[in-house]
Amino acid sequence: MTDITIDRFPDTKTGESYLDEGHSLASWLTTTDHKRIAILYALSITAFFFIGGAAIGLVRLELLEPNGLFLTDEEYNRLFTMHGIIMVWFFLVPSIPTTFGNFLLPMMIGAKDVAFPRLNLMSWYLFVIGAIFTIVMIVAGGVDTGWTFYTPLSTLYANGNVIAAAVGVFVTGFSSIATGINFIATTHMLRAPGMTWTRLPLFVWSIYAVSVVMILATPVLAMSLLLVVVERWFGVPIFNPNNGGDPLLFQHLFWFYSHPAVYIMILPAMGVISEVFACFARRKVFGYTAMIYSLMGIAVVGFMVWGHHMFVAGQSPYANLVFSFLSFVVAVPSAIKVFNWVATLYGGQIVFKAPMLYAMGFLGLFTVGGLTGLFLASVPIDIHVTDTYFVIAHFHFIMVGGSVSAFFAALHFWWPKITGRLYPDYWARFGAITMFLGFNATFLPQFVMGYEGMPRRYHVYPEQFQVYHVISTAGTVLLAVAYILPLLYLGWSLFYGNRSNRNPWHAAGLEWETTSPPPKDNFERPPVVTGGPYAYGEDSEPQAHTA
Amino acid sequence: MSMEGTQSRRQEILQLCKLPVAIWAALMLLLALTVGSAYVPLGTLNIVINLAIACIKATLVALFFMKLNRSSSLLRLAAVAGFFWLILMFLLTGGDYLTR
Amino acid sequence: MSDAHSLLHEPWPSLERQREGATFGLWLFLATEILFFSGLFLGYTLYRNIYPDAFKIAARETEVVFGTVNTAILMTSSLTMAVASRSATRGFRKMTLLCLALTITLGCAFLLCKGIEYHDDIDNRLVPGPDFKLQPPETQIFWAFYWVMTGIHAIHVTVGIGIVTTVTMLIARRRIPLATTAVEAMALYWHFVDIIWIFLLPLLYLMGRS
Repeated sequence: MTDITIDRFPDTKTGESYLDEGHSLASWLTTTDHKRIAILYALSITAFFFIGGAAIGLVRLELLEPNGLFLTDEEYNRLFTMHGIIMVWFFLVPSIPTTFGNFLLPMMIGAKDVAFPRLNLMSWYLFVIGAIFTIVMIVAGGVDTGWTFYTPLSTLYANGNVIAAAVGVFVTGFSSIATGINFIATTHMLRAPGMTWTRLPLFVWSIYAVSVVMILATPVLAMSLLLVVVERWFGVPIFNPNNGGDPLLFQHLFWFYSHPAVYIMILPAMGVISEVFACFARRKVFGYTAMIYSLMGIAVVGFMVWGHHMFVAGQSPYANLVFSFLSFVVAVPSAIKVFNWVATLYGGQIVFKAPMLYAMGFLGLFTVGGLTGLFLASVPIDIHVTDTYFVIAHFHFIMVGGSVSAFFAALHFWWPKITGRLYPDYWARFGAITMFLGFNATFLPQFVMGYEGMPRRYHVYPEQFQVYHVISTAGTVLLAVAYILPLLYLGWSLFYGNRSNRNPWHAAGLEWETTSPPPKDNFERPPVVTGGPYAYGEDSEPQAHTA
Repeated sequence: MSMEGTQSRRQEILQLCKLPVAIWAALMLLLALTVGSAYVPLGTLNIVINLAIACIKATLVALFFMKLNRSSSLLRLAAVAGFFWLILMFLLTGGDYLTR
Repeated sequence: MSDAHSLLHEPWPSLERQREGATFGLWLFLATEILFFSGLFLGYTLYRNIYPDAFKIAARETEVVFGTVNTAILMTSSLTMAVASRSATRGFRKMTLLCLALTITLGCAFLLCKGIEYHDDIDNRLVPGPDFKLQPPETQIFWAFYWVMTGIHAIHVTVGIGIVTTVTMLIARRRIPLATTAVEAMALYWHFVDIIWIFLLPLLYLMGRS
């Protein structure tokens, strides 16, 4: 039974939607409406995504020939650094939280807005200013350290605008922190009457978990980058081995953030998948409580595994042992989630709409990415494949196969809610399948060549690897098609798509109880919640009763 | 507001200053103690004493100036979370350095 | 005196809830700050453990008088801030403004002291680099941490002074009511910056004195 006591308004427009609150550029740039800020974020991260994608497109072309095709060593280093920095900090970390999190979190808990709307807008400005500054600096001066800024390369030897890039990332870090604080305060303080913690949709829980990670991990990144800047700029020795400094300290600080950052990327994706599976299998999410504990478990234990990035860096063997063990431990809650998703699908009335196809893609790719993560968590195998394409393939399965697939699932699932328009499902399903095929063609060969010894970050390689590189580059073309396609049909739908009603998927959840697109204050009247989430199934024809 | 000068107001202000001033006096005393102890040769114990006093001072400020003694458990949780993660970082990184 | 409607902002259902939310948000920010500084404290601890002798030699060169006086100044400013925040909630306007002004003054006094001390340090060739006066080379690591830790702390104090000054002016001109959550929020921040200094004192000034 549902449980959301709102009057069902007829689907005629009862008021203006948030999109009609003003059409001028100024009305968008000064808005404090969480929904409009979400759109601002969506537009900016889409732009950054394609810039980062263009960089890696060139890299993949270069790798067609064993001796390189058209890039110098320096240009090659700069391009993969650019790809890494942009994709990690300006796309993946903000992707789902700042767009769908911003848009949906207040709606899912029945609030009018996030707790601190002006802080929310400021956070977008910090993000955009930091990101654009970094990208301009990377394009103008080049950074060739890789996205990890490892010392002493970054502090003593690297050329280019390392300082500027680090400062830009530092600034966007504040945006992450502000967003995290905002989301946590919103979840704690602004839930609608009756919206208890165990009635929250799993997407809200995932955004909550990711916010905790953001506010506790990001400041450590800020400090490690600050120390790099200080050492490079003033020559003050902190990591410099000539003065007795220890470059490994930087790696500890850096990965204290950057490993949890992987969970910043994947946790919201997990939230999205739970929503989509429940809706398109017409079933309650299996093991709701276990899903919450596993989300929070991943968030906390994810902080204790960073040393697995340093197995061959000179860390003590005992620390290797501990970090290896903890890395296996963090696989347990992830596995719980995968089993629960499968159990949710079991016996469900599955409908293969586009969001569901993207979500199924996530399930397969995330599982492969997670399992290969276990290979890398065991020290002997990691020593064999460290810094090879095996590692590249592993984390792309998590970040692209996992997070990006989930991003597209979310985009297709909530698109009617956000824009009020329906897109052509045929093309969307075509895009989802193309993406899945293109992704596998790109990254499966990388597992093989990595295992056989192809190191990462080299553009000259032995001829035996050429066949894998060619397949991988061909896959990239397919993947590019799959990324550009949604731009076209979703763009088309904005102008020519059919109008959506409140709830085109017959989904459960407060956000579907309001108009599409929603009014400025999200609901016509403040909602009151009387039951748990995911009321799908026989008796679940969303019943509404009057408050 | 024009009443601010009256007797009862003055007394209320004095009343409200009592606790902060007491805490401030304790902090000053601890400061004298910590600086003084630093000049007594005690070996490793010096830094232990100094850090212990710093912890006491920080606790006094957190409890009484930042009002954690009267705050909801939610605020205390937020305050403790920072320290918990700090300890996590020290334990795991320290573990590496001490066993190299 | 304060108009409840001008205090209540959009998504909040009630003034009390809003106040709770602002304090909670600020505490979350302070948790972030703890982690921000923790990187420095961690680095300091590890290096001190590896090079105890060099750290003792280096630490003897800091100016303990300035460090102690500055601690006293900062703790007194915390007192005035605590009284200001308590007065504001009870509606004692003059007392609040007086205490906030004192806090600003003490904050500036702290920075002034710190400035003189920095000047002396530079004169004494204690900036890591080719001119650095101490040996062995690991002493430079201590001084690197000295500059970064005190520098970032000083930036925090400066930001604090800026915020307190702005809010004080706005209250004095009656642009925002005395009951604003801003006083309590900035008091929390000010006390936190104080706590950081409480730990810097033993680490940077009191080591190697006996």
